Amino acid sequence: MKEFPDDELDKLFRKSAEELDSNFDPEDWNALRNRLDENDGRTPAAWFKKWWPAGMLALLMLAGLTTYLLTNEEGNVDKAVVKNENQFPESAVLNKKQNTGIAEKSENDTADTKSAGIENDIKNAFELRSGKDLSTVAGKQTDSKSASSEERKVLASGSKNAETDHLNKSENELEGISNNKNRIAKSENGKILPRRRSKAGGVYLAPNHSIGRRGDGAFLSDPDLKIDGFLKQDFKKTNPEKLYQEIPNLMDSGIPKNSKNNFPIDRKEVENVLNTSGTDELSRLNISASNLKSRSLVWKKSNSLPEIEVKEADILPVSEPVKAVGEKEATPKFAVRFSYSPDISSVGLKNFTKPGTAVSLLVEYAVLKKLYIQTGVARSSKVYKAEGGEYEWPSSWNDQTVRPYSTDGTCKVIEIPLNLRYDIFQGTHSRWFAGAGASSYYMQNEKYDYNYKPNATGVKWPGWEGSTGWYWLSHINASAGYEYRVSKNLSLLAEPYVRIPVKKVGFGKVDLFTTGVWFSIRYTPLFKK
Amino acid sequence: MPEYNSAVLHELLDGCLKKNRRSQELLYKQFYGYAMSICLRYTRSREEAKEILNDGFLKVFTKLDSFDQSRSFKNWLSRIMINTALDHYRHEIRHEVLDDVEAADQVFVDETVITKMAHEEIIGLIQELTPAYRLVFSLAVIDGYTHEEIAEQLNISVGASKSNLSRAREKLRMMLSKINIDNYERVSR
Repeated sequence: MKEFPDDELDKLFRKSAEELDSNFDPEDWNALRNRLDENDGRTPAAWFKKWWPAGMLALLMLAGLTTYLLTNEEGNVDKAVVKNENQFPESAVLNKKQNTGIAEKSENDTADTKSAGIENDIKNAFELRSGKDLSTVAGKQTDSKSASSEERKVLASGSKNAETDHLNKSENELEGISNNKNRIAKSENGKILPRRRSKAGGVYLAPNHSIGRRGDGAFLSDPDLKIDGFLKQDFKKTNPEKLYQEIPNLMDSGIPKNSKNNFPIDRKEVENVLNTSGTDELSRLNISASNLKSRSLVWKKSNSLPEIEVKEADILPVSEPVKAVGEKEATPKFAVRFSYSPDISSVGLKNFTKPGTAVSLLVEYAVLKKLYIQTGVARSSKVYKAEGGEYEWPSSWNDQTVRPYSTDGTCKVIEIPLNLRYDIFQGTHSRWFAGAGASSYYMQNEKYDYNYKPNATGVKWPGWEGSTGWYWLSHINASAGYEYRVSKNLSLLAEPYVRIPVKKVGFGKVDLFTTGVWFSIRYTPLFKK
Repeated sequence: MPEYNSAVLHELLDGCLKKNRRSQELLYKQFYGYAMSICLRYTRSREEAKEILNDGFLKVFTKLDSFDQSRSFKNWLSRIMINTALDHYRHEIRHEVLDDVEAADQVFVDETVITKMAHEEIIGLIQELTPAYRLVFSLAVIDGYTHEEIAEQLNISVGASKSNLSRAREKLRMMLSKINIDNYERVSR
């Protein structure tokens, strides 16, 4: 016995620490593997935990797409209504009057178009209105067109009506009716109105009237003679491009009143015009609003009459094409489905491992209104784990006495399902259904890793790879799902399913249970008779 | 255990980087004993050691891309295991009160008895120390940490580290002496 110095003591423990070698315990590895599976998202729970945000995002996108498609369909319906309104121009104009502000603007512009007599100006004006969506522009163009067709009719019935209409409009504006306010507001926003353009035939901006209050100078005194005469003289001397540039600037800067200095048209040119056009032109330019006011009362009442009178004979030629006689849509009998699903497989409903994937292409045929027969092909990648007792050891390998305590299996499976699907509940856009049937498996690319205890001796078979072929009607299928129709032909489905084994499959003859959720897109072709 | 920095190890590590379970299992098996011996001397029981072992290996597999394969894998693994054990200590046992070591004037140990002791038994003596003594003793004596490093790792002063090491040695001597006495009594009966 002796005293134990520090260095001796340290040496003793250092040596023991270096030489200690603990035996491997498979349970420790199993515990770690489970944690690794969880960490790598290879367990169903971890898989869902990892992918649920992506799933939610996909669902939101799907919902958004569906909403968009549905909204778009409603938009198309609106457009169709507009088209129909084209067939009834007057009623369309009247309806628009009763509805939105946009419609009112369109109607006002219609009046402008009448007075100007040029459709293109309206179109240009719509194009220049930034910030409006295309559908609005389209709608307005439609209105403009309807107004143009109306204008043609009105002009055909006599230029007096057109003049009357214009007079009435001018008078309304002078009296400060709300439409006029809207227009001023529009002007202040810097939007170019068609009638402000000098090229709009029949419109002239009088130099002694406010542009901001516009309309005062836009007067058709004699559409047959004077306008043409004036325009020819006027536009020869006035630079239209300059006028275009200056008018918006003026609108932005404010509304000058009776100020020649502020007027956008070159003063010299205006004076030239006044000098050359003579007394008649001068007196024409100086027509005051009070003259219009006194006249408008007479014409106002009769103004509405030509707008309402629409002959049905005029409508029929522009109606939509009628379906051919005998042509009708047949009830859809066939449908094709493409599906994707996570494939969660196990032996004996335990030891679920990471999900594989499955895709399928199925054809459905409606044998009854709500009953479909369904078949096709599915290919899946199955990953599973079998305990030693669940895996049948081949008799030809009996010369190896030691047995694996577990088996890790991965295999590719081609599946031929034959199912019946019944629609339990059917709504306008959706339906709930349930299905059942049987599946045949073709086992290919089977790969098994046998796990032995570390102290196992005489191991000859660390694993096996191969293919064992067909297993007819080896599984019973059951599923239930929800289908949402996104269009006439397309629908989206979510269908949880199970594959219950009735036969043992694969090299190890295991009861392979599978579950998952089919996410499908279903196409229903509509055949014409 | 020989250093495993061979082509086989590199192959295994490549497999582990690809998250291949087979490669991971083989690497785990290969270094299980080595890693376990580290964990055992930093813990109170084998169960606790297993917990730290798997925590450490989980770090190995998830942080393997940060390992420079030109360096020794064993050293890297050892550092991970020790750090995991220290993390465990910081989280679980930081509030444990240190034992006072009874004053012992002279402790005599019979070498013949010691040589008969298995390595497990000797490491078992370390496990019987209080966590603070165990960690300082293991870090300083077996894993070669300096007192400055230990002080930093355990968030104690250098003086406390030295004191703990001294007390740990005293405690171990007493335990060895007790084993001697027990053996002597058993033999004399």
